[in-house]
Amino acid sequence: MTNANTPVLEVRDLTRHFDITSGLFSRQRHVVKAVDGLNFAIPTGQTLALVGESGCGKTTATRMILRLDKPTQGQVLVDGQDVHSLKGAGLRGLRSRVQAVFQDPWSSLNPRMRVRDLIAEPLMAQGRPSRKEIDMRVAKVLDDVGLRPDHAGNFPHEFSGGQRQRIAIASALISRPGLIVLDEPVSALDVSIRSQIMNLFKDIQQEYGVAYLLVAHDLATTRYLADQIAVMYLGKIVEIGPSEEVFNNPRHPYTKALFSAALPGHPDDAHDEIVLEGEMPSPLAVPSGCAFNPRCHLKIGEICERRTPALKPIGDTAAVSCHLY
Amino acid sequence: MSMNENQPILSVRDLETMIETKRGEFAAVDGVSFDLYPAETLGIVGESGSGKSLTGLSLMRLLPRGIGRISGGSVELDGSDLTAIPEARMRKVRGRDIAMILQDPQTSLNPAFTIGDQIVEAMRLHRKPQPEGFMAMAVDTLRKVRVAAPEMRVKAYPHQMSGGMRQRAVGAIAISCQPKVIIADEPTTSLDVTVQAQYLRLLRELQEQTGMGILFITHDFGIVARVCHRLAVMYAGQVIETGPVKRVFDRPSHPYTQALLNSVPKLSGHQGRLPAIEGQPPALWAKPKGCRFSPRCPYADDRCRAEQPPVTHLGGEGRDRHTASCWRLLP
Repeated sequence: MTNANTPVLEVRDLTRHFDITSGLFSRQRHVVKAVDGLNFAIPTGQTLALVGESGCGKTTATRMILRLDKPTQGQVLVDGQDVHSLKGAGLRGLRSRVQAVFQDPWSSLNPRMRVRDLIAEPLMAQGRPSRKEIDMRVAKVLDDVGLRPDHAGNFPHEFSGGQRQRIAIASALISRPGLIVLDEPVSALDVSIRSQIMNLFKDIQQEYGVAYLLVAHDLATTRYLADQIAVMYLGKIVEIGPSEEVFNNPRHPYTKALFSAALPGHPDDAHDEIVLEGEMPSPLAVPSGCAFNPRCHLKIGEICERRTPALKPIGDTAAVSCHLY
Repeated sequence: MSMNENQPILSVRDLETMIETKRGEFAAVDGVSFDLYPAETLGIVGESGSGKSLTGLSLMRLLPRGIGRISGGSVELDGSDLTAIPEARMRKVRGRDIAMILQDPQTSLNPAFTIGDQIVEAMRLHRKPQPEGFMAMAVDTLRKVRVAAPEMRVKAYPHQMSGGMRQRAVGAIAISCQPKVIIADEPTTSLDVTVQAQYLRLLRELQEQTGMGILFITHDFGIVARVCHRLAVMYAGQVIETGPVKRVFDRPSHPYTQALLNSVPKLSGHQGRLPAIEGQPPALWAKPKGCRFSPRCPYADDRCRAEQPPVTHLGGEGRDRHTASCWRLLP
């Protein structure tokens, strides 16, 4: 059914529109194009990061990938299978293939469950493993995430933020998934804890060969973890490519501005910040043509207002949607 | 400006703030000292629980009643000790001489009043009305913080504005009475990257115009590198290192500062494994004896675990003064 070249995750023309009726008695309907035609793929054991500011659609996209929301159009393929047409056993299988780690380990762990049961929960969806097997597998993942096997009997409140995030990671790992969605996985953690957890993500990827879909607003975190980067603006990918290439040579004017606004690592670092005018427009009133044109510092002219640029390939691995290219 | 450029506008000495918890009362701010000079931004950097936010609230005397109290030290602003004056006088100082910007503009604005009303409320307490009236002054203040169409925005309610716009409005309230010192507690944490960049630039421009001193409380060394002149690193209630930003970035002297600067991923250069700091900061009720960082410090020896290290002067005076508290810095 699948072969080695099938990506763990592929999205094709993924689209989500929301209908909004404005006013109490008004019959006027608006369509919010929260996600508008995404295409990307993540090969086995690799990391793709979705980067963009609030309102760009990255959360809606991950919700559809996790099957928490249905696309208006397009497909999400996990191991080559369309996840939104799965039923029964196939769907249960998907649940163990795709896992997620969320931002806030204070709200993502049920406070009434012991660590063992929290971590073992995904196994229950896979059938009826024996107690002994559960205990063994829980002990193994606890060790893999840097906790002690005897932590299994404790409750979440007995742990610090960094340790809780380790528990969440252990729970995501136990079913040996092919893909873990990481939604802002370190932004709620303290600075000195972040690097521990980021190293852990790299170790786990090496040992388990798992792929990550990373959603993060911190660019340095993204650069550290991601192989590929997709930059989103108002529901669309404006630039995609290998992490090194996008960071060293950002092509889209929005990517350039976003990266230039990132904070420096040293006070002497060059500070040639590109100042964007205003804020991201409301998704209810997306500008015509290129959605970025009213804020763009490299606008060519009328064409930017009239024609929506297509995502054009550059070389074999990158693509950008801008009339400059 | 009449004030002497080399005289601090704000001097904090041995500040101690106690916090009441279920396990008893503990010093969450434990002997903190620093100076803030005119037209300067001092970054107070630390992790959660380091006491950085409580230091800010102590300076404003806005500690939650019955839970927190200042138990020692002094906060000198313009020659008077803010810890010693009566509350009635403190109320005059707050907003007029020293103002605060909090992290979340959603909760620091009143949803039931327009932005204009909230700016006017602050000005009414401390300023005389200009002939054109307070509302015109509010429009002017909004213009200063680069809010587009300020004549319209004074009539807007907080929910009608975006996050970046709301944080500008909070900034407008803070600067409306032209304070000498502004305490900004993680003001950009809830903002997007490009909006954060706009806001940081705005703070710098306002400082150039007014000469106010800014105390910038943050956990982010990137912000320190971009906007601060000097920094003070806090750990477990104490300042463990302070100095000019460039000097501390080039020559961090406390092992904690060194480790923190090393563990932050960089945007450029080689992406090797991140050096991590093992363990986690101590709880308020379980502070180690001796140097607070000693259980996590790779260099700690018996003396570190037994006795608190003194402050060591590493060079410079006034704005250039660099100090750190570590036994290894002593001969």
